[in-house]
Amino acid sequence: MRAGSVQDECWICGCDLLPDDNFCRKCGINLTRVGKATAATGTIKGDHRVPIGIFLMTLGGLVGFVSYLMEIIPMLAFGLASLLIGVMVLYLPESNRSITSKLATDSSLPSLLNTEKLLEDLDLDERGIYIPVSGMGVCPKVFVPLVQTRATQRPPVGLSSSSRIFVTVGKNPEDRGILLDAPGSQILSSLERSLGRDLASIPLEDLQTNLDSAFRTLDIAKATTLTYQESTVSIETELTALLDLEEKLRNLAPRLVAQIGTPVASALAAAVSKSTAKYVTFKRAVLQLPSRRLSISLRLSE
Amino acid sequence: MRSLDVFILTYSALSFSTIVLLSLLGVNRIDIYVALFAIEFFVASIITSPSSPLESRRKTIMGILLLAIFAVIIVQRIVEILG
Repeated sequence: MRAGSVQDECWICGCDLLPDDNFCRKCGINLTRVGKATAATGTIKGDHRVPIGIFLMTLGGLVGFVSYLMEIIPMLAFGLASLLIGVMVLYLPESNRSITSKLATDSSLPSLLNTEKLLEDLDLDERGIYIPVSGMGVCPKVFVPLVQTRATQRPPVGLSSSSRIFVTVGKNPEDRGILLDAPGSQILSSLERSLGRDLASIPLEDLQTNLDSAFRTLDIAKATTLTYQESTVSIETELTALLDLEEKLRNLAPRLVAQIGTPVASALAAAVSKSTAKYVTFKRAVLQLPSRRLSISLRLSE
Repeated sequence: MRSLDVFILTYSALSFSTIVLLSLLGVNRIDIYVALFAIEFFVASIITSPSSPLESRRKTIMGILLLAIFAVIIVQRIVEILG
């Protein structure tokens, strides 16, 4: 069942859901109920704009009327200008996405949906493994195993240079899987270009500062925080762009979101993989629409 | 910052600067202020374009209204000069 409609079970793990659940109790994925989310977002926006618009119109009307009676022309002009700006604030719609963001969503969505179909047709349920690489502008590839075996849990590092999609990483027939370019590979390259450094040369302790700075420079996200504990890395960030794409992918491509990650989440996973030189898999990736916060949890393995 | 916010801030800055400047110059005709407000609306629209289709449509409606007011002011001035 797709998100956006009324859900009885999680589309990722099949866990039963209660009507008021916003997140799956088992896998933690965000359950996007479009109507509810939009209404909540709309209320916040409305709260901002309506009082400002009404204030400007009232101020403009009062100042204009009094100045007209007193025949003070500059004050009358001030009143008219305030009234006009108030009308604009109330009348012009607040668009929650820019043209560039819409174009980015529209142009990248079909290829990501193709990946979703590929995962669905091959019935791949295992989480993708980001294979560590190093080198400026080089992005880790994602290996999605057919089944979990000793060989597929740790695919060879040299696999990243392969140009094939269907690969075998062991001697047994079940040691197979697909090798994909990470959806966030280009974002990762842009991050490295803006930093002027290879993320493989940045230790995990310094990664938060660098990611926060690069994401702000690219105007993708702000306030990125990174915490790590043993083999788990948690990253939280507040998206300033691509929110529409993140939301659509959660509705249309649940496998991709949970197994490989959306472009932003994938770029973060790839960054962690490069920085730690370890295999990375997604544990969860939750988007909180009203606060625009993306929280991801990654598992590291040697 | 969104395109609409930039538009409103640009327009506010332009119109309030006009008020300060014209009042310092001692201009006491409201039609001059209003005509400049109309022109500044189009300037701000062009500076902050492109905008979303709905925003663009509503800006066009506001633009037509301001253009009509501007046209009335111009016609009045022409009549004044000719008369």
